[in-house]
Amino acid sequence: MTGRPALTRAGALVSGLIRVVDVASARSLASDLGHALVLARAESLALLRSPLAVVNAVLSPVALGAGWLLLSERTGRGTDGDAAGMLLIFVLSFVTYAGATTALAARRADLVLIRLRATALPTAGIVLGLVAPFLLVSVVQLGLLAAVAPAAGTSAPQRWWPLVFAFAFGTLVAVALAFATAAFTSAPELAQLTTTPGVLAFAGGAFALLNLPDAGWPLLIVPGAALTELTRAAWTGDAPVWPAVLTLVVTAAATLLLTARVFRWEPRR
Amino acid sequence: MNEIAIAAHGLSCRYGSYEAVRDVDLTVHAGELVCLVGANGSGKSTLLSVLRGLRRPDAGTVRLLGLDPARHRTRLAPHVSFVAQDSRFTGALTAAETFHLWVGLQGRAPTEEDPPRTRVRQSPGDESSRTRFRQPSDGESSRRRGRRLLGGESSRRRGRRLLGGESSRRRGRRLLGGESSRTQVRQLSGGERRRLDLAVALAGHPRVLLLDEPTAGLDPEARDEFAATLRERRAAGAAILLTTHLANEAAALADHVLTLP
Repeated sequence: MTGRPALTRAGALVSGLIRVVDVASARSLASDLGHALVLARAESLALLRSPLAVVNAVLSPVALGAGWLLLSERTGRGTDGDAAGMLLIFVLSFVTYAGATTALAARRADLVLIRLRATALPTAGIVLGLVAPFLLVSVVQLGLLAAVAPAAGTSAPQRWWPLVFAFAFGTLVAVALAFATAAFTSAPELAQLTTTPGVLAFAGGAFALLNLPDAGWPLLIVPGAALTELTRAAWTGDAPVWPAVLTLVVTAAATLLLTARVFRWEPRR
Repeated sequence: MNEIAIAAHGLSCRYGSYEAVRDVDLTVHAGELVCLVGANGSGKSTLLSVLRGLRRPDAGTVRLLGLDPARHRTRLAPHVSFVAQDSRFTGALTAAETFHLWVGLQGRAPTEEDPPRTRVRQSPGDESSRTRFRQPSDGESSRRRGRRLLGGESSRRRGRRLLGGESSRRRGRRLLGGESSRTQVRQLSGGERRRLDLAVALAGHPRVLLLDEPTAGLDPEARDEFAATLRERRAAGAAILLTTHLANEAAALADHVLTLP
């Protein structure tokens, strides 16, 4: 019987400690998020003031996506899951990947990245603040294209989770790849050159898959093919998705490891 | 003797086989201004980077306000200002937006010297909140309190004087006049960028100032203003470590001068 009050006291102490830790960590998290938002706002302004970035990252993906929907309606090819895959890949490759790479290269050349390391923002907050404008633009663009897709004859998907998974992991791969590519991009003007292999890895895989009924393992390794396989599976309903899920997870992990090894906050001397 | 704000012992830092900093011992107390003098390539900038925690030393220990700056980088940010040799800003942002951004990212409380329309304030006990600097904890209005603290001089006038110089009032207003400033940083001259950099560094009364050739690019009048500001900050208890090429500047400003070979 004597053990019960002690247990109660210990329980109260533990729960009190947890509450204190939670409040402190919640406050710290809110502070970090606030700082990340300050950075994201500044990056959004910089994005919108660059005519090249507006054309490449804001207008081109929407125009390409709308063009694809128009073509798929007229030709009957590349509809539903294929169309969703292409739209996702246009947005991920042009906005999230190429756009973020250009911005990162510019900030590093201006020595802004290393200056950010001397602020109250932790590394995750810096990353979030830098890429947040591109994530926001990609979500808005996909929303716009999804809104006009029914007019082009695209039906609703049978299951949503492969689409959500494709967007989440596709974004993760694109962001990690942007940081890795920025390591080899000494000036923002060079980003169009250095991002070409990555854009091909996204778009090329999807284009190859459009001409095949099913993706084999070699093709699935290419990020764009795995993404398209997932968006296809969202419409077909019963198609196996685990190979594409697995390859996307492995690709994301590998890209993150590569980024951790090669990314530099300062320009190479 | 005041508390030790900056301490380095046996500090060495190398780039490959080149040893940029070799076995440096350094102590700066609160309320002390120390100048580092040395030729180009003597390791002054590297030393400041290590002290700010942007680079890990190859040997030796560093403490900033009692903490390892490399491990406690974000925790030290509200208390430490670091001005690098070259102004590091995003060119597409205006001067006011730049000021907002970097002062906001430091997580630092405001001071009366901050340009009035770009001030941010943290509420006591809540690091995350940011509101206009209107009501200090004692209920006195910020404007009145600022005037009282500054001997009758308005914070707006003092901000302009400190940051823009009386002779360049219009330029100062353009640089630091808050949201009304539309000039993008890429259109500013080197000296204007430098002043903006210093304005960011001085905002919020940091306890430690690490300044890498802060007066480079400033005109003589702005240099004098800046020197006066540094003396005020030192008198208020800030620990200041700055590098310079100018021996006469170092002698005029510093409590101690250290020479890097």
